[in-house]
Amino acid sequence: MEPNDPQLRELLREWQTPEVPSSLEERVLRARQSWWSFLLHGHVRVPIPVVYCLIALMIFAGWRMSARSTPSVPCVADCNHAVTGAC
Amino acid sequence: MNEADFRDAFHEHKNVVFRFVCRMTGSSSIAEDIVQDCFMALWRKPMAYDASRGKMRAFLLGIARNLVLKRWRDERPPQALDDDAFVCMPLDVAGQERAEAVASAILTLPPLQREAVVLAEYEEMSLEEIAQAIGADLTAVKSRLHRARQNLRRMLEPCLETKGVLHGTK
Repeated sequence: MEPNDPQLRELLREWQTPEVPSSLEERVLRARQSWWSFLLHGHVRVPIPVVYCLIALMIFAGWRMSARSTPSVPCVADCNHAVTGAC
Repeated sequence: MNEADFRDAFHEHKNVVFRFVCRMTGSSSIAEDIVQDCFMALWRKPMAYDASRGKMRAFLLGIARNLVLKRWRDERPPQALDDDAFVCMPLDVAGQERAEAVASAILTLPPLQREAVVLAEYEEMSLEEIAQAIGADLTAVKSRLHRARQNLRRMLEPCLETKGVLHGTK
């Protein structure tokens, strides 16, 4: 390793790494996509807590929608909602 | 940076970045992921590279190095990246090929010692280039290299006198 330690240097050189896979270039070039291509083919990593929040938000929104669309008890003829316009 | 520049940079530096990450992590699949992230960082922020401050190789190795250390921190409980007092014991290399023993020894080093020795030995970078790539001063690089060498010598002592498969008692 040191200039005066050729023995260790020679030993270290025996560890060779594999060749770069040929698929890596295609992979990198494919990943380097434009924004409109990203909109069509891209994907994003979403943290699990964010997923939980989104699910809770959707459940809450669904519950609110269903609560609004549930028909209320019809007013009786002599209620004063006709005046206030609540019915 | 246009597409042609990017392709040129990729073709010129993919091997060195891949080899470096392979030796830092011991895994070619992790190396593929990190090489991709490294070049994506260059593509997204080409202005981050300032040619007046050094070579593209050192810049890309710096990005790769940060990605490796981030992964290392994410996967392990908090501990020092470079423990001055870290002393590697001799490896039990009986029955191992010499190349396997070398890989084990290098992967046993603390990450900051490992990166210094990988860049100096396998990529034949100067101390200044290493300092630039890893964002450290020369004194720190020299010190890490010195400790890495001592540790490697200690771990690989049985290999230094033998050739081929190592025999010994377990």
